[in-house]
Amino acid sequence: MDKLSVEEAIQFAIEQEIQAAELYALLLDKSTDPKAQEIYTELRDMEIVHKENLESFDTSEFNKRHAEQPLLNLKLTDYLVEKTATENLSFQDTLILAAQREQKTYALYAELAEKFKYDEILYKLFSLLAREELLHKDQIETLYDDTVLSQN
Amino acid sequence: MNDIKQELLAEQTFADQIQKTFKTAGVRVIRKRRIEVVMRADLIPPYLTHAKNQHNFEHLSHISCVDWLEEGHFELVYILWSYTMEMQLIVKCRIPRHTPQFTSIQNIWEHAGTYEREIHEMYGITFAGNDNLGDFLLEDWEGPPPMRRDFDTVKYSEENFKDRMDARQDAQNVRETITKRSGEDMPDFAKPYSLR
Amino acid sequence: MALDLKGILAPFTALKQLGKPPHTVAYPMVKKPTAERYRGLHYNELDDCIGCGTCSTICQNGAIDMISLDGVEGKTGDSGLRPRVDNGRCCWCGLCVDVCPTGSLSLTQEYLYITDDADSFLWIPGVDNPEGGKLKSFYPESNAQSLLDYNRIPMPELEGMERIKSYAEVVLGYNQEEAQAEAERCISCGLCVEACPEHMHIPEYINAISRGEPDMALKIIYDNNPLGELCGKVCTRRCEDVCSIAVRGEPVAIRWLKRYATEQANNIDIIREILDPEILPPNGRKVGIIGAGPSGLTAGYYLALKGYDVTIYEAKKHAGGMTMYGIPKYRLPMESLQKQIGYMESIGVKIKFDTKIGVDISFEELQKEHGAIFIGIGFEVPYTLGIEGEHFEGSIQAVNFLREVNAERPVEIGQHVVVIGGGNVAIDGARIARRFGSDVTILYRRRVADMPADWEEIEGAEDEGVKILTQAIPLEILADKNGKVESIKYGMAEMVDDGKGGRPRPRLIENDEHIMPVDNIIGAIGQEADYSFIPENIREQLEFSRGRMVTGELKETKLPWLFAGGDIANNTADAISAIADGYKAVKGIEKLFAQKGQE
Repeated sequence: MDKLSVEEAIQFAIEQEIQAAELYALLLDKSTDPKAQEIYTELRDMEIVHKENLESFDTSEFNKRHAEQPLLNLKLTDYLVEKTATENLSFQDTLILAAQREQKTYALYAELAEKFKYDEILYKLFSLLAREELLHKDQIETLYDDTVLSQN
Repeated sequence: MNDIKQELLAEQTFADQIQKTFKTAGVRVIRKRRIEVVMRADLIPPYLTHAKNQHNFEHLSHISCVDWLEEGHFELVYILWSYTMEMQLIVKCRIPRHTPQFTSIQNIWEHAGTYEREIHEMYGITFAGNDNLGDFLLEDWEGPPPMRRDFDTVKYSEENFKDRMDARQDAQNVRETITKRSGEDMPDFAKPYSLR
Repeated sequence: MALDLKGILAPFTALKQLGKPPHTVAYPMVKKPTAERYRGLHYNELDDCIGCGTCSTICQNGAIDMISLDGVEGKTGDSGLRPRVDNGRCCWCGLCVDVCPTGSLSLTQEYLYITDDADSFLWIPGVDNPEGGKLKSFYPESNAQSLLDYNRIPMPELEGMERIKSYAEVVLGYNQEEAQAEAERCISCGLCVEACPEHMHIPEYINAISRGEPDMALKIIYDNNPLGELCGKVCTRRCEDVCSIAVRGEPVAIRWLKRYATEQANNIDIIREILDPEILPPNGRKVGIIGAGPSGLTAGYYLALKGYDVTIYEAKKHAGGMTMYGIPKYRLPMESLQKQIGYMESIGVKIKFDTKIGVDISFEELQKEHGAIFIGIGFEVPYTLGIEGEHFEGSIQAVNFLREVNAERPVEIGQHVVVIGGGNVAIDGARIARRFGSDVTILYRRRVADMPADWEEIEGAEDEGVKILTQAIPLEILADKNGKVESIKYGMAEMVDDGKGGRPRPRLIENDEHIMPVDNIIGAIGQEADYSFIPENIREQLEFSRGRMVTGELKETKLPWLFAGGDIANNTADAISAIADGYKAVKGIEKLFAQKGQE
């Protein structure tokens, strides 16, 4: 992937979202824990919304979409033990898994932004996608902070 | 300590002098230029005459009254001022609440009559020798003397000024507001305990 | 004839006065200053006023009404009402100011008020004189001037270092004299009632105590709380947070007064004698309750009084749930809990101990046997720390630790202990570990002010020598070569604003890591429920949110015969909320059977 058109880049991002949505749908199907099921449902739906957003993405709107929401970055994923996507994760592990997935996707986009630094539009696009992933990670970490860590 | 004694020397000397003459009195220096004397009621007219003539308390500033409801007394408070000594003398006595009668001191200070008239109206105490105890500040007053502590002001207002409550019908009870808003189930047996 | 010169000139002597300043005041351009602490028209700081109505209650002339005002909304801790003075009745005695707990009410230097409409004697302080705050003249300069007593009667308790020698109850309780004195501080506003999840009749039982009628107080308490003694000892007492007196002083010790009233009845027979409960004849309706915690017990008690056939299924040996197995005995002695539960059994509540649903009896069987089922299983499963090394020997969970200690099973704990968390469970774990003689440090990610634990518990822990290390995030547990916990690595946190007005959140500061040698690590970051006993086909029909079951106003679920309460069905997760849930569910269950009856 040395050369990339903007359309291809967006398509790539869409595929990422589809994969994520499919994974969560699968985990939802396998889970028997109603608490985890609720989280999987939300995550799946969130990824589908992202996919939809990307499909109607208009590169001319870059600047508008950058209306910044400050990042919280609680860095929970930095020290929590890594989770793998297996059947019947607990509510807690579901949240950790999701936050870590967002973190990894962020890293991927950040790397791509660096790689295509020479192309202004691609750089902007990947930076934006990277930031979006961080925002999602924020949401999940905040939820973790409110639920699992309510007493800490 | 010494300084304080020094400062109140004149007051203390004077207080001791009173005490010597009136053995049953309770004499106390309240502060600079102020002495309190608690007297038996029957000694009040002679003592006031004595204070005016012998100790130069030329002026009667005021007569006041306190209703000691729980103890069954009215307390009369005579406040005197001496221009000569520049000192205030507070003379107190108690009379039983069930026979609210006392002696007028108009013969000592003519203007005492006005104060007595006010106390008569507000506390229902009569002063023998004062023939002018009619209406004073209250117009057409038929209720009990209003400064007596057992006078129920709320009840009196409700009975006599009912129409003035019309504009106040929007008043709300705080406890009931809370009960209603929170959905509390208040049992009847607890209700008499809602207020102190 | 001599001229009467004096007579001619005398009138002109007035000319001498020309040009001299007058002795009179040029009213209304100039106003003469009023006396110090002059008592003129009322002013009320509307934002500071909480609408407690004490001014209205004390007014000897019945001059003050409490009314609704546009733009003033009631909320917990504020009735939403504000005083209005009838100036036709006010005598400016100032008692209303002397008794105002917030200090919002004052009298001003203003004294002129002219109207030809008798109704307009009605004066809304603060609304009719919005600028009155600048003219305040008679107002409380300090609490000492108030008619209220802002200081609490101190609760006698064991001294800190004495406590850690045993599990003896720390708080010793008020005697009658102390209780009455404390009860007399209450101004009966009732704002506390709204803050209490169960809406207990607080001013009423406090007044009963102050009148020297503890039996009546007990009756009022039991009207909607059958675990009043438990609450008297360990309640999270949100009532006290909104106490009017607390605005400028120490809140009335509502919890300790409840404790006093309930402790007067010191055995089951006395409770029965005082309450003399009316138990309705059996109505043949059967209700099954899963879990004998506060919510299940409360539902069971009131249903049994109403003639329902109630059976509580409890997986453990004793009833009480978290209050039995989670709360240390120095806060809630076993005998106290046994007495309260024993009384419930005496009026007909059946409890099946050591009976786990899905193991000893199936859910389906339960469903078949009962017309309604209430689930109150609590949050028993602890969340893990989720960090490396948590599996090492010596890393344990506070709920398990407390359960073992409370069940009087042997527990071993090392010399150096770290407890992780800032809730009551963490504090309980730390204080129990102190009683084993350990050095205890609490690691907490946020600040002391953010701790969900009761402040008295935090203070109690500190008194007993527990150290608290705040803004510390556990990163990794390290072990020796035998796999035994040796130390904990933690990093420091900065508090960041989440931009949504919530409490600040801790964010790890990079490269600020520390290592603390330790023998045991006790996790207490939070718990969750285990719903696996509910068959999948039923679970699928229920709604869950953030780990909790979604219920309605009367604790009903999506399935009409199924109710849920306690930690699994509210966001506050404390005993009093659980009791409130149980009480609400009673209404829900009655409604269900009433509807069934009509069909």
